[in-house]
Amino acid sequence: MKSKVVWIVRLAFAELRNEWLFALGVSFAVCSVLTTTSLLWGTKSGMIQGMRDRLLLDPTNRELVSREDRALSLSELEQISGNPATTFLVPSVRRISLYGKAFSARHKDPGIEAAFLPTAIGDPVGGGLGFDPDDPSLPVPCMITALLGEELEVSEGDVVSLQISRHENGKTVLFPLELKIAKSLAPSDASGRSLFLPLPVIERIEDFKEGLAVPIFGWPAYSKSHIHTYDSVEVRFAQPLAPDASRELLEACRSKLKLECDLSADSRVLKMHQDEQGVPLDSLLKLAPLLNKLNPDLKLETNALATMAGAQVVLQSADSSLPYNRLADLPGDRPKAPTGGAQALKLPSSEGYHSSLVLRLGQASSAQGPILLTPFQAGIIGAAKRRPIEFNQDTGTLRPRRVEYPGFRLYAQRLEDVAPLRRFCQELRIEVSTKEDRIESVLRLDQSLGRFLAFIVIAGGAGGLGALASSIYLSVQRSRRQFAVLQILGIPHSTVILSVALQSVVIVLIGSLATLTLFHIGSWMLASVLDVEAESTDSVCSLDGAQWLVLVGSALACAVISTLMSASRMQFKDPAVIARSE
Amino acid sequence: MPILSIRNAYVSRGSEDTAFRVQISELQLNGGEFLSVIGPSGCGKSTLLDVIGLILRPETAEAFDLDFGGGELFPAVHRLEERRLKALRRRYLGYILQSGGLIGSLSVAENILTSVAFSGDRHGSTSLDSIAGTLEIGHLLKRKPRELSGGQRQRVAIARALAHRPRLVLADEPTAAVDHDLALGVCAALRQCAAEFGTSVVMVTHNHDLARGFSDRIINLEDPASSPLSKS
Repeated sequence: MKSKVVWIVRLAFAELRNEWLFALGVSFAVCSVLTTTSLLWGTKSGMIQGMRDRLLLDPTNRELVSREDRALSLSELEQISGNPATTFLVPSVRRISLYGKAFSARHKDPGIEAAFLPTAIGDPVGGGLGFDPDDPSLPVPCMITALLGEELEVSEGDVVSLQISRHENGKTVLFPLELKIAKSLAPSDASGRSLFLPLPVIERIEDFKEGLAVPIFGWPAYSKSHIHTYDSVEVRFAQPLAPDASRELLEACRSKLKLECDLSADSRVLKMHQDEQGVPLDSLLKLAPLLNKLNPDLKLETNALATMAGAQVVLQSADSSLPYNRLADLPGDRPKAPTGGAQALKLPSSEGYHSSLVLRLGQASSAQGPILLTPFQAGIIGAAKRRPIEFNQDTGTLRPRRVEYPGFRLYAQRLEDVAPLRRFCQELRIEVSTKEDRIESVLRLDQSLGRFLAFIVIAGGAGGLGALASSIYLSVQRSRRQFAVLQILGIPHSTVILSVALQSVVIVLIGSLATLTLFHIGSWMLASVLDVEAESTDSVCSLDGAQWLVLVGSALACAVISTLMSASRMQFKDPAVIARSE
Repeated sequence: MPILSIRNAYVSRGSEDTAFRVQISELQLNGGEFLSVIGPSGCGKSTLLDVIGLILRPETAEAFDLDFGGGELFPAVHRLEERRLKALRRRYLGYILQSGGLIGSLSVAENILTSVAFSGDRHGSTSLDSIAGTLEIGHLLKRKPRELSGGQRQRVAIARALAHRPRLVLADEPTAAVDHDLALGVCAALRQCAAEFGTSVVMVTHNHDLARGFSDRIINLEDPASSPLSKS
């Protein structure tokens, strides 16, 4: 058996050596067929498929960008999220992105301005990240865009520092936040200088910017000493004001300070408020000398005013609108209120939700009478008008929960889902923009070019393979006399056929190797002509291993089949006649 | 002791329109015998040779037996399937074709060893050295057939036919392509080797002198008295 195999190989290679010129010619024929076909197919697979893949894989093509001016309620967002066409939705706290300065160990100063985008698990961009604020793992994980990562010279596992700014009393204060890069995004995933942060982190950054404390990041609330605006102020006088004094006070409030003022019938309580802007601290400071003059017993002093004004905010009743301190002094890091009487309050809001809040009062109070609040408590109540308050029993902290979001990041399940999801959003009166036009044009181009190239590849490939089969068929027929001699000598036909088949295989493999070389040269030239950069991930002309296997396999199969067909016809009934006649 | 016995075998060759039919009435070949078949062109020399060489299968035959002794008896070989006929050809027969019939892509040594490799003879290399020495072609072993003269090609063909020590060698006009002197040399070499290995030889030739000079027996197909062949 071994001897026969050796002879099959020996016969095949001896014949190839002997007929090297012919073998080379057929190899070139194979090469020309395969090169043309592979370049066409490679172009189809590279450029055209690349366009299609980018279209299909690029999540931005499935993104629906909000164009809505109003804030969206949680229920609206839940409806969109629940739509089967939606694959991912994460709310954002701003209509445009939140920005901050990013630094790294290699790029410290002056830092790079980066956008903070919300993400969550399942994000089509990079898979997304989660974050549990009750059990935070620090540094905060983030995903970074390729451009920002390159400029900061950071990669996965590195730490990026952020500076989060807040305006306090006309000054900008900065607080740090450390991020750990969990994933560096590819340029095709996201462009620009952005950091994708879990939504709870973004929310806390926004809370901080609004003046709230964020204990998990060590950020304090806006200092109490800076409180300068109040929704309403009530001044109680020890003695009723004289009519002249009353007029003078009301005149001063209305004309000089532009405040809405009401004096009680007994002239002992002055209520001041201003619908839009609230009552600024400096207005009260201007009013203080007049108040002191009109009612010496009050003894309002400038330094004490802030505290006192806060203390005099009055909760009239549980179901009326609540005066509050606009700049909420929240949460957790404040000292607990002094012990004393306590009262549970239900706080209604204009949005229709309720927060339950237990206030510990500094002094005994009756349910009917006014409750005196500290600015901190008033701040909570004020915040509760806009957002429900969440009380964390474990940490003893209060935090306003968000129930409205001005924007979102929304992605459809598939390209085909973009249009239905857009229509669904429009039904909810949420304006969104999409890339539907581009998607449609590229899909149409892909379809047309795909058909055209498939036709050329099939026609060219079939013609080429036919020519290859013919040449191999004829090459076998050239060896009729040799076949006849071998048959006379009694050498098994299978041995002869296998030997010839092996020749064909070698010829095709030589042709394929030449094809591989020419293909790479050709694809490089195509890329040069089309001006595609060498480091670009886009490939103008490319074939993967499976495609090469199909191409070379087809040529091999074609060669072997034509060899077998030709050789099977060489099973002569009368080989002696052939051997003598030729 | 005949190694080949054919009786009343009917052979047909060619297509139905141009069929050439002959009857072999009685033919026997003894072991070690050198038999020459002579006659003019078209008389059926090659057909007889092809039948003896198991290349052309008789349609019917009363007897077509091979008996190489030592229990190697093969009766009615014309009824054997093609695969077994080929095996018999490889193992027991050797062929010398008109112009050598060498495989052009193989060297002389490889051509000679072809028959050895497929006959199952494990002593091929010994035979190669031995037979190359006897036929004085030792210096040609690495050459290709196209580099040889006509006489050298025929010597190589003889070597290939005998290398696997067959019981019967069939030579189809082995001297047709060489001049008289070379023809003598080729026939002498064939006769010598066949005698050395105890091989029977059936040689088809036009050359009556060569047949007379080297054969133990001559069948002249022109002579109805000696010819076993008759056209039907």
